[in-house]
Amino acid sequence: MKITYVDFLVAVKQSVNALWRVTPLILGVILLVGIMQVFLPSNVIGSLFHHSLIFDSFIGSAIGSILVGNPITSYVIGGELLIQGVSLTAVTAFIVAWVTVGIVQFPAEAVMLGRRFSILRNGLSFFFSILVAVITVLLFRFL
Amino acid sequence: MKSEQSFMGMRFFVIVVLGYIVVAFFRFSTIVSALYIAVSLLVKILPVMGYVFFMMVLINLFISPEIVIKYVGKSSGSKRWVAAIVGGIISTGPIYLWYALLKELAQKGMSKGVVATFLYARAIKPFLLPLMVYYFGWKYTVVLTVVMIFFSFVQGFLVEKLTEK
Repeated sequence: MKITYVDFLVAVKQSVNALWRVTPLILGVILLVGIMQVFLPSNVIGSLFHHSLIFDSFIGSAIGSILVGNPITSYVIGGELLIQGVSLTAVTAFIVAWVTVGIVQFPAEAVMLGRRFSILRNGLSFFFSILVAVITVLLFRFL
Repeated sequence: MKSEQSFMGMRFFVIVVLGYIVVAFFRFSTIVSALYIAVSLLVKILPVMGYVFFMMVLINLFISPEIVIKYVGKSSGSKRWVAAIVGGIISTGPIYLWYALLKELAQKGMSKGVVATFLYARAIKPFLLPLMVYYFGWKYTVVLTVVMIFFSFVQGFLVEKLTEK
């Protein structure tokens, strides 16, 4: 396959245009991440747990779905929640939802990949975060 | 379509900026903290954006719809799931940076199910596993990773079936 200089320039132009179109979305998401991390510090999150296993897992998934950021943050918060006595299932649901569900990124995902796809993917990811948590903890205790 | 997407993206950005301005009137210090986090995040992801741009150029240069359909499209059978899982695991950076890239691949023939599998597998971060081991132990980390790999396939399969209808 022979690549010419013109092919390369066309590929660069296509890529610049694609990134340029998505830049406002990326900047919007970054700003939203900043304000949400300020409004929802980790001690506020901890106060929402301590009910029942299923309810806590649901809450864990719900909070993990809303929050975004580096997964390192979810590990740190998850570790703190475990110390505070929150169940491992709820913490697992929290860290799984953190990295698989993206409420904040939803507008960007819907624009780029389609609204129906985004609703379906995020809905399934939310349900799976609870399921993955239950299966993981069951296997963890069984093995 | 492209200008409509650009307009929606700009509208989203303007709404967020307006939210910042409104909050700044009542809690200026909150906005300063939020902006600090946002700028820190932007600085972190700029190199990743460079990487994404490089990948997009390579895709536009070398990957044709026929090749994608052959390797990750419907005609390539079970290998496309493995390719999506491996690709998702080794991909880096925030998830929203990959939307443009995945859109390009979808336009070149990648199925919605494979896109969903890729996005789910992205949750597995090999370079962060030592930190997870530190907090939760080896056994938990291995079990969670295996379960998530399995569910990345399950999700992709379900998305494919449900979007086909």
